[in-house]
Amino acid sequence: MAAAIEALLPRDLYDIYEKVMTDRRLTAEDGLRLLTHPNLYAVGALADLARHRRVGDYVYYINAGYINYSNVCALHRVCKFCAFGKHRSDPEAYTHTIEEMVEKAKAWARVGINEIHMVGGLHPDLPFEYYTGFISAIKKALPHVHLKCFTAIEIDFFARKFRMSVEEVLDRLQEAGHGSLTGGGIEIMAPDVHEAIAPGKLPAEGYLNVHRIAHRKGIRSNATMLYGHLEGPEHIVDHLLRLRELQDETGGFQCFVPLAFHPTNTRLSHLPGPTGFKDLRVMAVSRLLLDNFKAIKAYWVMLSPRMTQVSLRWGANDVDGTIREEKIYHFAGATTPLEQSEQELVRLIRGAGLIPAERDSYYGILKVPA
Amino acid sequence: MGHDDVEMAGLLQRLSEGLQLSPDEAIRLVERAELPVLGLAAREAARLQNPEGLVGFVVDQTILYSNVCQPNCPFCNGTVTADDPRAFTLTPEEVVEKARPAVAAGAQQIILQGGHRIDLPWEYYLDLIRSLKEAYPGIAVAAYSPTEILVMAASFGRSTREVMTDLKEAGLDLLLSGGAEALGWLRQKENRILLRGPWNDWFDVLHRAHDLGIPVIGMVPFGLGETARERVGLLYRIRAVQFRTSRRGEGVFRALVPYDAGAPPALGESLPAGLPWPEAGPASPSDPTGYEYLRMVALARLLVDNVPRIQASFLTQGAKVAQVALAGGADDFGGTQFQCARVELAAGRFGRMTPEEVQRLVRDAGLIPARRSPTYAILERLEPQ
Repeated sequence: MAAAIEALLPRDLYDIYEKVMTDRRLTAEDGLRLLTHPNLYAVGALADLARHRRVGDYVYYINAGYINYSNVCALHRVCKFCAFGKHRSDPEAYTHTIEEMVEKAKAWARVGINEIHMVGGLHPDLPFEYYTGFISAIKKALPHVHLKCFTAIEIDFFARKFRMSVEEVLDRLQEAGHGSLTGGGIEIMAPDVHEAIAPGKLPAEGYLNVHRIAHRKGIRSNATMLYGHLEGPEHIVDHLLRLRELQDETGGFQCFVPLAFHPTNTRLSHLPGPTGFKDLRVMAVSRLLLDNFKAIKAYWVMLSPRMTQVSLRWGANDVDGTIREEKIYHFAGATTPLEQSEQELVRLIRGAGLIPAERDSYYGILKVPA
Repeated sequence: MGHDDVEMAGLLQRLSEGLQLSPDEAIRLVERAELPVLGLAAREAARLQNPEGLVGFVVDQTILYSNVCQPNCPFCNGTVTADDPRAFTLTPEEVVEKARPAVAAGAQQIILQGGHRIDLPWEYYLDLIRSLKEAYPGIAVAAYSPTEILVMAASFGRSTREVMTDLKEAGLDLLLSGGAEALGWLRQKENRILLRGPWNDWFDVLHRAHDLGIPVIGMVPFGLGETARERVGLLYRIRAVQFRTSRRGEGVFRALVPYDAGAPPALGESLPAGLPWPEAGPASPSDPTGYEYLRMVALARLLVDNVPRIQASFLTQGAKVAQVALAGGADDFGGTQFQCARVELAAGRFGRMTPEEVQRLVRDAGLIPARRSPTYAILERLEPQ
């Protein structure tokens, strides 16, 4: 496609095209220019080209389950963007028992999953044994299933609450059978925006530090960014470059997931939420700036299947998976379906002219559907 | 990839400069060109048509006057036969009442939709229009497709010219070219009325409409299992009709509206806050056709260079994909309460968007929102407050 892009690209983006074609690193200024450029397709074409050159034409999906173990959260009054966290006395508050989670996992195992993604609120009362307990119980029942659990915020919370170092928390979770870390919990790293939407929550340095420690131990993790609320383009670029820097240092990130803000039921519900333009610009600039990440994920639960498919030509190469029972975005008014069949994901990927590949938790290819 | 790439680059460059392709070249483009480059070229082509970057919209309301239909097209799951207990047919008075809230809210246009049927009296079709025009002077009425006109002509023993003259006199302002019939796809279907030389009849209705001064909104269906050749066939026939009717003044098509006739509607797609889809059923994760939809928008803009506007369809695609369409060929946002095609209505689809929300999305896309007439004349540029 390079010839067609070269022929049609607006002149003022030629320097970035040259950089992509010669594998040179984009700058913060390049990122800002792309995020505000009026020609959405030009930005997409550059990201599509970068995706093709750097990681090829496979688009990954995973057969996975999803458990939000509890929505009770000590930060339920802190995070203005969140509709999920509740006080323990809230009628909608819930906490799954270990038995419930094992039963759920076993039921999924019968339909075939390779990974379970588990995150929850910062529960003020549960003992550490609850967390190691559900990990070891599920791992015992389903030894082959990878458990991708907890955000950096939860890890930091465990360390403080149970008076352990982050290293110690990670060691004990790993002993129980923990696999890798999820990427949530930071929203936007720039201090002024972070303070405005989640005053007092663990700041960027703390988030990055947990990931750094995990990576040094050989534990892989993902990274995310919540956009479409109070941030400006400069905050998005700052966030991406901080992640790029840590990835240069450790190489431990597997995937970056830009998360579209859903305002419904949050204390920022007066905001309209990101437009289609914003979704695609952020996806494309994520791909273009994060030249050391293999996967950029279009998370269909928040983007909708249609926008997810379109995102695949704006730089994304991962559509997440056959998630079941996602709760966080659905509390925030997401009306997307709760799960996608493998067949539907395959069709979605092929429909965008790319090659579907079922992956394991480390981006090894398990199957390329015929 | 290499050879294809160079060929596509050449074809797209020609199109973005306002040149045209041979049918065979166009077929190769439909078969092979990928979305990012199609969108890039279509943006340039749209700028040739609309250098200021205006995006028109109209306040309107669609009313389904009957769910009874004859042909039983397999892609339409909502119409029923006349003896079905779910069948309904509104009287002209009921249609007037249904339109009242929308008109009170400032609707400029009523779109009437119904099935193909042969058991209603001819006067009924005229009365639907007349009653609306009498009740709401100044309202525009858009109704009926070429195939409905053909069904009327055949079943009432009149010529298409007579049928259309009467409709014009009753007050018909705009015709909706349905389009699925035009894909050639219905040639295999049972209905004899629709089988008979569809292209000749289709051309005939459109030329008659033009002679009578009835402009046409051209629906461009895709996703029905059609071939690239059939897609180009439809687009190039539209272009040919437009060319012939443009010899004296404005051509008969005011705008083209690509829509995915094969997919379930975009229920459950993300909408801006505060704008739920009322009546939305369970979200369908099937057939996420955002990619193909955006390709079709770009292809329509590139291959039909003589129809002035390409209309984005937020009702079939959701607000986000419709906004993205504005970046790659589309330059009209349609009607704020437009429930466009029979297939969507039949699937129980109801969507709304406020004029303010349309303006926000258009500005966010770097374009200028404009209130327009039902016949696509710009009435007012809406500069930021």
